[in-house]
Amino acid sequence: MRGARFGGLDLAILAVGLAFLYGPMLLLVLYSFNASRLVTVWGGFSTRWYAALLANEPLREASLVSLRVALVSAALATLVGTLAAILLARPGRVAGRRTFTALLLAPMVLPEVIVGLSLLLLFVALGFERGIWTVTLAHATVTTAFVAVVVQARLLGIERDLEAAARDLGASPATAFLTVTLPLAAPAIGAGFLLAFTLSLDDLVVASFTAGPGSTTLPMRIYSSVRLGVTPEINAASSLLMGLVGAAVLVASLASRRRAPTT
Amino acid sequence: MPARADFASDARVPLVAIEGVTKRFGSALALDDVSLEIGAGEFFCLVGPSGCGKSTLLRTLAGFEQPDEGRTLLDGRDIAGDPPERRPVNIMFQSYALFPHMSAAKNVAYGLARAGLPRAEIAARLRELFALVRLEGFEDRYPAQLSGGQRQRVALARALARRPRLLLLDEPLGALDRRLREATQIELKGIQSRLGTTFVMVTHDQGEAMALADRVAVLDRGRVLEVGPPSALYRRCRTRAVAEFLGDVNVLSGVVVARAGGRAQVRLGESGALVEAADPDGAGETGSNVEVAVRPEGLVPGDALGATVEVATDLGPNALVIARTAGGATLRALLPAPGAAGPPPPGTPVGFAVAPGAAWIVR
Repeated sequence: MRGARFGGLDLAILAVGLAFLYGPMLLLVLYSFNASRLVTVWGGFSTRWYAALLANEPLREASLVSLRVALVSAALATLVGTLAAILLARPGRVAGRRTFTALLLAPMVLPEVIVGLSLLLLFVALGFERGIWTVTLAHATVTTAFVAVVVQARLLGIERDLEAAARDLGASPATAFLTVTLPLAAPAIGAGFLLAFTLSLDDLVVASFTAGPGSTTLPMRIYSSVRLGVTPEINAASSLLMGLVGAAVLVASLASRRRAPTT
Repeated sequence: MPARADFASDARVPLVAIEGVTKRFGSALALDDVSLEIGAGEFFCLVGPSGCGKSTLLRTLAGFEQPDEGRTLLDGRDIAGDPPERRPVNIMFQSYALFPHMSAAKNVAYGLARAGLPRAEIAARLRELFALVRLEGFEDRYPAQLSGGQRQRVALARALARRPRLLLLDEPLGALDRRLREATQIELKGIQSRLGTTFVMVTHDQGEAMALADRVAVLDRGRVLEVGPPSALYRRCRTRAVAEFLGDVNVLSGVVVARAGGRAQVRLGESGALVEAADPDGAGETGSNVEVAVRPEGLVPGDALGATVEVATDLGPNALVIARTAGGATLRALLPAPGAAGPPPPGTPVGFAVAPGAAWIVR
């Protein structure tokens, strides 16, 4: 089979498609280096808004909140999601496998507004004081499903006889899991973590419902500032956020591609 | 090795005793009251069509399946409750099941590390094992960097590393091409007799079983049909199913006209010719209808059976002639090489006789 070559028309379609997807983001990054205070007028290259960003106390605080929420919620989601995936991918019969799979995956398709609202109701009913912990728990709830899907897919791709071979060679069930299954699933677990991390970093809706005083995340801060008018500073903050998310997604996709060589 | 072949007459405790083992999966009966004894040092083959239960029996010995009924004894001790990691038994999987994230050496050392052997001893054992399977220099390769034959050797070395009392092999040569398979058969047999380890091998290839096994058990639908040395089973089995499973066979019907010792004179139904057939367990009483089995190489030129050639193939050392009798029965005969003239063309009339000792009565 010959490799795919791009013709002139293909290239044009590709260019239009990419421009549609990435044009707006490119513009945003470009304007974050704008020397002018007017957002829509180019006034030459400058990094002054990045400097201003560093001096902007509320934005800096919001960034820290977002990072903390993303790290902790991704860790929680990775733990719970991986455990769920291990159970659901177990060979043989598992009672209620289909039901549990459906229940686990439901948050992926539920509208975020509903998830946010129901979590808010739950926290209020339980008398939790809203703050950074409620946002973290809410994000972990939403992102667990994504981790589970990624890890389960990888586990199902691991040959079943491998764990049996480890047992046969003297490994206890726990040792067989730790020395064979876990290393083979590690890239997917890492990818799941980064996915959960970026989802949390991106989220505006669920965070808005579950945040309290002192737990304003970066997307919330950006959104509320934009309502008062876009400033180049926000462009700079958004560019940084985009860079971080982009890097995480890149690492995740590299990690899941660099799976162990298949036999 | 006659001492091995007829160990059953020996009073020693067999290494493995399978007693009335039954295993069900849902309503399907995978093993149906299987009883077998396997002696220490034997090369034992389980053969049968796919789905006959041979792999289930192997997995039961390895500890991955628990029998629903019956006992499995190793050295006279019931091992039913022992998990796979606590049995002095190792298995070589059909897929090899090599750990893809470990080098060949790490794969082979896996079982040794679990046993807690000191590092120096593991290194010594690895050298020994890689030499045994002739893979020196490939220690640091990953499974994906090895050929099929090399992976097969790594899998064998890994399964032998813990010096098991019993080595189970599930279609170990199934993934290799024909030429490599034949070379590997010889090697496998060599390794087995050098180590003296008891091998139990599952295969669906009767030729492989014939080439390797001291004794063979033929399974079908979860039951053991017959057990014995392959040469004996090939020439004197009790049932038609086993005769057909172990290779090409002509089955002729006839009537027993006389008996003497373990032999019967059978008048063949179609031609009326008399054939002497072995009948070791007296299946054919005088006057009864019986079936007589003859391997293709047991038919020689003669005049007991008349037929016309349908296809004749020159195989080099001999010629396979497929001929049809007037009554419509198909005969397969392995005749001496036809020479430069080539095999007889279709339509040629041929006559066959049964070589002395080549026929036996089957049920």
